[in-house]
Amino acid sequence: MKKNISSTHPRSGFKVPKNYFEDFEAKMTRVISQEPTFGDQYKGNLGFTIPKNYFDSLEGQVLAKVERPEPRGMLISFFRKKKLYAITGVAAVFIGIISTLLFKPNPVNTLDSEKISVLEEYIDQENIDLNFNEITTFLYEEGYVLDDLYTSGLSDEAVFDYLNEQVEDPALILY
Amino acid sequence: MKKEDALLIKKLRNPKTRHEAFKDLVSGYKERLYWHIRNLTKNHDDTDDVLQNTFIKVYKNIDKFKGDSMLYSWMYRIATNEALTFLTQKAKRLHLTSEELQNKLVENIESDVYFEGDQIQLKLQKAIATLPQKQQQIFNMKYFQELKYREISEILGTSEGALKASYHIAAKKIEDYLKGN
Repeated sequence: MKKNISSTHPRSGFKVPKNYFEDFEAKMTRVISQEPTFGDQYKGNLGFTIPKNYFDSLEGQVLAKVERPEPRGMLISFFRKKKLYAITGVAAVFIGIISTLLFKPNPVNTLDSEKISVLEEYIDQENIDLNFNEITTFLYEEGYVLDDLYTSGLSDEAVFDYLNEQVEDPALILY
Repeated sequence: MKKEDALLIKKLRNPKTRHEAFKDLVSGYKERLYWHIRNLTKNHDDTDDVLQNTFIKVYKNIDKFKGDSMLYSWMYRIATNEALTFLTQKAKRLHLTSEELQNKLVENIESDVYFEGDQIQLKLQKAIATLPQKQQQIFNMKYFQELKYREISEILGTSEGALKASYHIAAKKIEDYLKGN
């Protein structure tokens, strides 16, 4: 393209002020020098400072920290304990259900067969002097034995059956 | 990329030679870019603002120039965008549409101290103002700046065939306007 020397454009008729193009370069140079070019303006100068000999001692400090064994933290994870409580709770409930279903409570005055046989042997060998009057006194006057009998887990029928089997003279259990 | 452009860019990217290289850049492109912008803004003061903004943008972004186009194409694109942005902002400031602003700018040409054209040239400006924006650009670059289709294609990113068609249509419309007015 031909360089336009004239201050007036021949085709459009537009004109420029005198010496406009001649002065433009100088104007642009001024503008650019005033324009902050961020990177160049602050290159090498961030404005921050550091303690004296910081970088000299840095390596030693880092190595010392790396070589030192880490102490166990006192911090116990809350979520781990929470999990433990949950598991314990579930286990307790489960054990409670199982024990309720599988194990029946012992009656207050039940006598297992082993204990009965021991008592029978003791009585047979006349280790005690069975006086019926004393027995009845014990039964009626003390009262609490009767009460115990009534409150025991043994039914009257079961007692009668036992006595019927064990006592030779049936008349003794008839009243 | 031209050898001269490559050397200039290299100097612009070097902080030591940047200042001197920038002076060469401004010297080599100021008039071409000025008239390109003037055809869009119509008046000198607005053109001066846009031209300075264009060079500042070039200076700040020279590192981003990839070299996949000619240097002048890249600078023309920057100049075009700066001019169009300027006009959009001016229209907004004056509460006018782009079309209304165009008409206003053309009306002001007649009284502009920096216009020495005759009546035909004034009418030509009015005719151009009736064209769509892209057609105006193509017409201005082809007719007033006498750029080659290849160069315009690089600047606008439009094929040469489309440019030829667009210029032909623009020229026809202008002819009809001049005949009718």
